[in-house]
This record gives sequence, structure tokens and C-alpha cells, in this order.
Amino acid sequence: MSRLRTAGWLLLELIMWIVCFPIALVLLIMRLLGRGRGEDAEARVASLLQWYPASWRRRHGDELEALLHDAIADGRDDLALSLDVARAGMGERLSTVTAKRVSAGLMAGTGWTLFFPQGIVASVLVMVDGMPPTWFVALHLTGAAQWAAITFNILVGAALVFASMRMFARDCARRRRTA
Amino acid sequence: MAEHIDELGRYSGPATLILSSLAEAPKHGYALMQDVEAFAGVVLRPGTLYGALTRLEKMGMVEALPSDGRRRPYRITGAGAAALEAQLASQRRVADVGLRRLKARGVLA
Repeated sequence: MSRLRTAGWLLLELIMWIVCFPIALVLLIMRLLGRGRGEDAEARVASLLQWYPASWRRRHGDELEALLHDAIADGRDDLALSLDVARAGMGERLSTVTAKRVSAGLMAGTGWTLFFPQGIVASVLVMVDGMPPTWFVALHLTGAAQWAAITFNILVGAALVFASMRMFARDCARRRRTA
Repeated sequence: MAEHIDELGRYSGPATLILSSLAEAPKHGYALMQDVEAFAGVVLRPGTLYGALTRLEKMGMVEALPSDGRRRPYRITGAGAAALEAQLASQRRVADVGLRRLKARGVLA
């Protein structure tokens, strides 16, 4: 019976990752490109404009909005138009990326990994008997060393996340001052 | 300020088309799209058009005029006209050489 249940769970996981997840991803991308079902021109244009950073939209948003409405009204509304706007918008976003923001992103990612999976989740798993250690560092240790590692991960992880958020907020404030 | 359209990298092609269109008269975005498609047969989509237009504006080759509703016309500046002339002269040299060599091979009539 347990083999049948395991097989059933495996099948469900396969269906989720091979079928449902790609379908959901495609639907999400179509929605982000302003091509979700039921979207009118207004909603579509609004979706497409979101690809651009706020600073760019403040300067040129109205003009691009008018251009998109003209293009859609003229029957030029196809996937190529959506992809073109998305590509250009992402290009504008990437042009605003600075070394400080990249550092803040790396710190946030590292900090979150230490704080949550390697810290909080590991602290719960340590209390469950028979858990395989897999990628949880603390579970490969024994005794007091486990809790020392978990405490270290939580404290350092939280500090990194806080520092990254502060770095990001300062960069945003600097941009607002110089804009 | 930059003087050469080539400095725009992958936007240099669209920039040449946009400046050629604006050399006639100031235009807003959609009028630019239509004019470029009419004289060059190239469809400049909104993302590419505004990518080139905003870069041309930063380089001082075009300037924005007061908005007409939500549409904002752009016009070519003196620097833009000079850069366009240089770019088209360079392209003409290449075209002349290419056509002459094809003719010499007997490929062209």
C-alpha cells in the first residue's frame, strides 16, 4: 500500500513539474506581456509599460502609452510588439543596475539562504528524528555544534538581509535626489 | 557630446532611420514609425523606436518639442543633422564600392 502511495505522489509531482509548471509559466509570461485572456487595450498597454523602470516611465511613459495605443488601434498588436517592448523595457531596467545594487542583491540572497533554510528550517528539522541531512549544514553536525551553527546562520543571515535592504534604500534615496 | 551614430551600437540602424525621417519635419512616435516603414520598408516597433529616440536625445541629436496631448513630437538638431550626413556619406561609400565590385564581376547589369 505504501508503495502505491509513493508511486501516486511521484506521479503527482511529475505532472506538476512537467505539465502544470510550464503551463503556469507560459500563462504568467503572456500576462506580463499584456496578452492575458480578456485584457483590453488599456490593460495591455498598462502591462507593457510596467517593463520599464519608474524613472523612465515618469519621463517618457505618456508618449510611449500614446504610441502603443496608436499601434494597437492600427492593428499592429502582435506578439512581436509585446516582446519588443518587454526587451527594451528590461534593457532600460538593466541600465540602472549599479555595482551597489548587485552587491545588495548578492547579500540579500546569501543572507536569506543563511537565515531561513539554513537557520529557521534547520532548527525545526534538528528536532525531528530520522531526517536525512541533505544540504542542511547543521544536520551534518552533532550536539552543541548543531545549535551553534543554527544560531550563527540566523544571526549572520539576518544581519546580511538588513544590511542589503539598507544599502538598497540608500541607493534609491540617492537616485531620487539626483533625478 | 558624441558625434557618431555608430556609438549607439545596436541602435545605430534605427537611429539613422529616425534621423532621416526627422530630417523632413518634426514628428511624434507613431508618425515616425509610419514614415520609416513607408520609405525604408522597416517596421520600427515601439520598444526599439523609443530606445533609439531616448538615446538620440541624450546625445543631443534630437530634441523634444512641447507635447501635443500625450504625443510629444521630436525634431532633429544641428548636431543630429551633421551626424546623419556623416553616417549616410559613409554608407554611400560602402554602397558605391559594393555595387562597383558586383558590376565588375558581371553580377549586375
